[in-house]
Amino acid sequence: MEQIVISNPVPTPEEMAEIIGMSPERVVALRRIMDQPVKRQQSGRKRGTPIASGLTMRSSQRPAKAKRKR
Amino acid sequence: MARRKRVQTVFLNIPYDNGFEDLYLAYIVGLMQLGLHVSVALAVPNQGRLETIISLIEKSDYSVHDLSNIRTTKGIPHFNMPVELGLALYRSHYSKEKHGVFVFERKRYRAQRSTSDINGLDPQIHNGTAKGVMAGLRNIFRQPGDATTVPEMLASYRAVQKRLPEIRKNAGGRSLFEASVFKDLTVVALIEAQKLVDRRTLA
Repeated sequence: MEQIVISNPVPTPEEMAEIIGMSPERVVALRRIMDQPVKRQQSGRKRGTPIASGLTMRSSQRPAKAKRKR
Repeated sequence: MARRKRVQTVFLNIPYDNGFEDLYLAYIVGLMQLGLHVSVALAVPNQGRLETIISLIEKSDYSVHDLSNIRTTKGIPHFNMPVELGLALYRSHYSKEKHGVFVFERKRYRAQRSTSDINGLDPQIHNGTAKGVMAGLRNIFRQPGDATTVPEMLASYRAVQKRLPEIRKNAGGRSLFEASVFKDLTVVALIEAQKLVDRRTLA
């Protein structure tokens, strides 16, 4: 299969915004979103935090899963 | 001032299905970063939909058809995508191949079995992954000097993906398949493309 050569330079966000009818203010807002650091999703429980009152459990301390009988 | 050449347009024919969001994003980021403009049939009412789709295909230089996810509802398959592929193939035929038609599938040889009439088209196989989509796009389209690599496109894809909640919230849309969110995605893909160029210049 022959490849198609795209000789045009990649348009800038502002050029594309003009083509699709987006306001320059919206482009600024989108730049802000893309520049801000990503908030990390936190898991429900941190490692080593109490499971029940006064108890903490590491993976090595968890009881082994019971093997299924065939 | 030198007048900028027209940006070539790709009509993207994919299922507007929530399970397809990742690949949809991969197509947008990949195509935009290769210097193409993406057109989709979003927010088109059922009445006059066919005319709108025909017009979008006519205005596009290429079309990309992903046949990997033909849905069924209560056992009835949705044939819209194969119909749109047929329209694009006819457009390609009567325009003497000025309109390029490209097919993507998830699994090898499946398109040859499901749609044997297109056996000569050699579909790109993406295996259901964003990386597969980008590699397929790069097999079809190339920039002089192969400027944008698949790892670069994937890095941009991940950067956009991480900001999707904010982009969705900002556009007031719940689904990525809304016209306003689509516009935002095309522009953020180019914001990331600009960062790539800046990084290359610094390196």
